[in-house]
Amino acid sequence: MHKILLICDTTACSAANVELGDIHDEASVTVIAPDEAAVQPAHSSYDQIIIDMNLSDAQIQSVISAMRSAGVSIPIIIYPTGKKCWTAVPSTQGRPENAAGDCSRHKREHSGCGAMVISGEASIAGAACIYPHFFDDIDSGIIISTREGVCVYSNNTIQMLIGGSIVQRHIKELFGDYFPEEYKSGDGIQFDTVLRHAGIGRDIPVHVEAVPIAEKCPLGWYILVTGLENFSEFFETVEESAHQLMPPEFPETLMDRLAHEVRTPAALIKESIELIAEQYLGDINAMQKQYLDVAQKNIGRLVTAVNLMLEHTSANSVIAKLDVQDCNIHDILHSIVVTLNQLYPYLAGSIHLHHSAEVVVKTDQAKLAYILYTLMDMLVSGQAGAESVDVSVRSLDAHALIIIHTRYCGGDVLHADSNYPDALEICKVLLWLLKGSLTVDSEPNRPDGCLKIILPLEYETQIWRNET
Amino acid sequence: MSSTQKKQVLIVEDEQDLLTILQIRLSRDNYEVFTAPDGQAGLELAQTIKPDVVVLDIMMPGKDGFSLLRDLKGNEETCHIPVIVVTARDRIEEPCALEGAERFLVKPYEYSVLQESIRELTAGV
Repeated sequence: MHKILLICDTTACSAANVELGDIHDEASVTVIAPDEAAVQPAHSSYDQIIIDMNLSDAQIQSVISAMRSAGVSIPIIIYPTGKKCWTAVPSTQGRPENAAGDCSRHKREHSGCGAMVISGEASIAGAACIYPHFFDDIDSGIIISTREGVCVYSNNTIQMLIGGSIVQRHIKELFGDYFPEEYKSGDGIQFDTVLRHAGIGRDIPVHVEAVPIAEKCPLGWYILVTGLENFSEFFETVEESAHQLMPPEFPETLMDRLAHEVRTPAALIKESIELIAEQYLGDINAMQKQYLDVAQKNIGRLVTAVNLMLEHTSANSVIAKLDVQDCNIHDILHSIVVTLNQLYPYLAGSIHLHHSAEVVVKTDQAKLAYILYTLMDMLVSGQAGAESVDVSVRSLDAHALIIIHTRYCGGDVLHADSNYPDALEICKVLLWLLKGSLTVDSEPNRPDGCLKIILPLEYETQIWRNET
Repeated sequence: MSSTQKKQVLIVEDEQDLLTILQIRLSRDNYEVFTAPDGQAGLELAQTIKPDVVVLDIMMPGKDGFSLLRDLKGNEETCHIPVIVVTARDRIEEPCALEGAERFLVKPYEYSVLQESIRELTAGV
């Protein structure tokens, strides 16, 4: 049986234990506190040592130092256990930035002991645990995995397991078009290239050996980078590239939040002032009335200012003029699947769209397409960490049944608890878009890993499309 | 219903102070006011008392206003109850209308507008 020693604080223990138990079907997980691990570091009877990334930098460093000093050569994985790495945030907000923050922090803190960080994705972190054989020098290196990738630094070589969409994209940018859009497992490629470090403007020559990985479904790339003179510059380059690719927070989202935060207290002040001014709470004199009027006027000014800001933001966010046209769900899904295939070439062949009935929906097509896209984007590249998505549509008497089947490299169980609620949140939005005529199979732990969305067939056509 | 019987208003709002102020003002306007601090309590109260109108906030902990609105309009026994959405959020008028809300007011609103909306929506009751 695979024996894992998990070092984490008590609050993360139970969640982490469950996750790791799920990852390793036949693993035995022992959980100890960081203080205990630092005092008694010789744990040679374990196959893996996993340190919770949520511990403080000082705690992590203390444990690693103690283990290295004691000559422990067991692979050490710094792993984002608990819910921190896949907190239910059904959008791009927060997550990549957090991941990048983790990266910088750990790179900075652990550069002295040979550890490097690449921002990562939970699925790949899980994959590192499941497929440790990808890392040849795992027994002497330190793995740090976050949300989009995992890498091992040892013997002056960087080994990376890359599968998350963001890393996939920025690695592709870094390495140009070396990676073919379609590949078969085992087809390796080698090339020399030059990375440009934007911060110092220096070129970094590297030799890259890359092998695609497919365990039942495309998993990502195993990449060996050698010939690096300065590893930290390499990772800074990768991180900078990742930052540039991160989508900015939509200004309207920020303003929407701000509007709520300002309007609610403004409403309270306004209502309170009016209650006093109406003399419901007792008589007020002329002078008091005068100053209540001043307060009322200025609350009005404040609210007007917020409304103007919102209007301005809203006006700036309009990109295209839309017109009402007929459309059907198949068109929408088809365009989504095409887009997904373009965005995620490593998923080529794993996204299918079956169509057996024309389904017309009454909603804003742009919204529906966006939401479905977001849903799938989330499933593919976001919190859910799915490595492939099957989309199929088929008629079901009066309804169309859309089945979005996700596959995770770590197995469905790995993400079932934390990810289906995300997807269901999006479906709730779909629900109100379709005015309650849509039902969602909300069973969170479906054995077949399917999320089923049932769209009504008989809807009047009232769809928004780009005028062009 | 007797013409002397007070019209019933259910306010669902998580801001306790706003809830209290609105309760005071509507009571003074001769409405029988019921209050709920969240969507779940609001739903239970609405199903029990079947108020003449619901004044509903959207952003609430637990069951939010959207969810409550959907439940009210999706239930045969409560779908006839008019709902006035009052919210500080922006750009949700359309989804609220799609869900079946009869009126939509952005906080801070003029109380007279709320008064008029309630009067109109309860006129035929």
